[in-house]
Amino acid sequence: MRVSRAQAEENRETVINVASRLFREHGFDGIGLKDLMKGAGLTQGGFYKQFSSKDDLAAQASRRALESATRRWSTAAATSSDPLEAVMEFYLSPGHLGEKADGCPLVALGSDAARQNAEVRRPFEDGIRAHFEVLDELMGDARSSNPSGKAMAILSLMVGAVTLSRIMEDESLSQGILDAAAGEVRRIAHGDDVA
Amino acid sequence: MRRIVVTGMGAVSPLGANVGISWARLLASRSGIRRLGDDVVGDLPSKIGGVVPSFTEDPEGGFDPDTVLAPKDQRKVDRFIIFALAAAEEALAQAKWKPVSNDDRLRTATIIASGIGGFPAITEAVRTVDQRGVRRLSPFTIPSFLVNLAAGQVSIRFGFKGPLGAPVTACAAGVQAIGDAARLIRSNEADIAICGGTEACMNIVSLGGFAAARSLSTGFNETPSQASRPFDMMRDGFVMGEGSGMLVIEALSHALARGATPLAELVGYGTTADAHHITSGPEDGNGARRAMEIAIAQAGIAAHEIGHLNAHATSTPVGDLGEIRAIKTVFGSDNTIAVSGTKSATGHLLGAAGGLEAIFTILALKNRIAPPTLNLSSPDQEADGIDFVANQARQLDAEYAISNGFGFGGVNASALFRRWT
Repeated sequence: MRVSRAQAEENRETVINVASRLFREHGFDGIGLKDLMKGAGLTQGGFYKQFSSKDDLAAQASRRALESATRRWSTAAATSSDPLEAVMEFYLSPGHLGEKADGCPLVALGSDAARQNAEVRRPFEDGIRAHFEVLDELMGDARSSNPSGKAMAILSLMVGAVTLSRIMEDESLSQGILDAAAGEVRRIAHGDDVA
Repeated sequence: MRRIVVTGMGAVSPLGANVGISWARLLASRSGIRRLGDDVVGDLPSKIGGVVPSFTEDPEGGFDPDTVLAPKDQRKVDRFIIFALAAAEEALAQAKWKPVSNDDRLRTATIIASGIGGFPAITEAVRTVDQRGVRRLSPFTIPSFLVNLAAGQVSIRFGFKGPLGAPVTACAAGVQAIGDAARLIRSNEADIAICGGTEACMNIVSLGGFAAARSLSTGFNETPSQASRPFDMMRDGFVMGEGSGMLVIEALSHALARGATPLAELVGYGTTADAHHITSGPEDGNGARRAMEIAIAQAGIAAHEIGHLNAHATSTPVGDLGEIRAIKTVFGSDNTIAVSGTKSATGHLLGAAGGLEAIFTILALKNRIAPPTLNLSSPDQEADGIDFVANQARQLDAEYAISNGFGFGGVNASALFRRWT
């Protein structure tokens, strides 16, 4: 059956969106093309009409995930009089620990991304820069094209905390990591720039 | 506060059908102003205008509406809408912004200004009613001329479902569109916007109206390229132009996340009213001064850090004088800021001027070159102490540049950009 251009575009979007969730849930190597396409309600045969390779899809799905994560941060920041607290409230929360497929792609795929080729790493690099920018903006006085030391330290701390916290079976330790990170983030944000 | 960057630019101007050719010809001190046909100007005292060259007469830089819209669809829209579609397409292509997901569409704003809108279509509709009867009006009459249909058509073509608006603040409208779009992004109502202005109202009624208000140049009908002469002693009115200038602006974090390349940062915007007179600004230019000061304060910088101004500078005796005084009040009288009046080459694009001149301002910062003010052979003595970029483009080393737009009704707007490094 011939597929209309609009339908083909919609299918492609669906594959990217579904892949962006499934990669976060299973890792880049934890899921094959067949299951990705099945998740999108399509057959595997159509894949190479839409994407040049699995890496191509991984790059686009990662870009989508990081754009949406950036938007989540800036929306949280915009809707509160204390934007840093608003970001921490969702990010360093037990709820976020449970959102493997919809949560932060830096946590879900970060160490995996470092093992990928440049095409797949690129959206992560761009997304990390975007997160630094949101942090610098919400801490005020962002003027440079380069991220501040504070932003770099805070993001590293937050991503690390959720990564470790998600591993722990011990719930009180898991929560302890999040709380400790939140305290340190506040200290860094209100102190002098570390870099 | 969210930072905002420019990631795309598109233009249709009397100098050419895109940004590249318009800028190249501007730097080469070429003029886009020409003698208009007698069928357009009749017995008006002003017989010149900045007309967008057609592809037929200018294969290198002319505009071909067929590349934007099928001929049968061109009849359903007035010329200002065709220009808007063309400039938007160029800007969006440079920004590589083609939203497909619903989220991306919902977060894209469309703010496109026009000072006048579809005046030629209105004129034609009145002629139809008078000559052939009211029942002969086309169903496309209204959507062909409504000012907001430039934004409407652009949003429909590209599927932008975020905020939509159309400032109609005369010759400040294009700058206000950029300012309004920036606010929508700052307040997180959108992440990205296509914004700017469009204008195409060069017909006997609008020219006649501006002539009756004694706003147009009348002394250079035989030497059209010399008619628009901002800040020159011999200036005697503005020359009407047409075209469109569009920017894609977006939250810096949004640009970074999608891997877009910023061209400049929009760091400040200010807008004020004169509360003075329907067509002239106050002699001391205080409304213009306040618009610039507000933009500078928003950027958190000092006036002396700004190295370049693309002035509103329409070449009217009173308007330029008010701006001269405003410039001196804000920047002092010791030649610290390189001032260009690019309407000398393009004519006055009214509601599109702010969009086109924002582009020239950004390119001046990016390419480190200030465009020339043509026909500036004997500067107004009131302007002593202002460093005009007269007649030839010149090297520029500036981190910040500002662009002004002022309109009938006493409306002023300034947009301040920072070089992206």
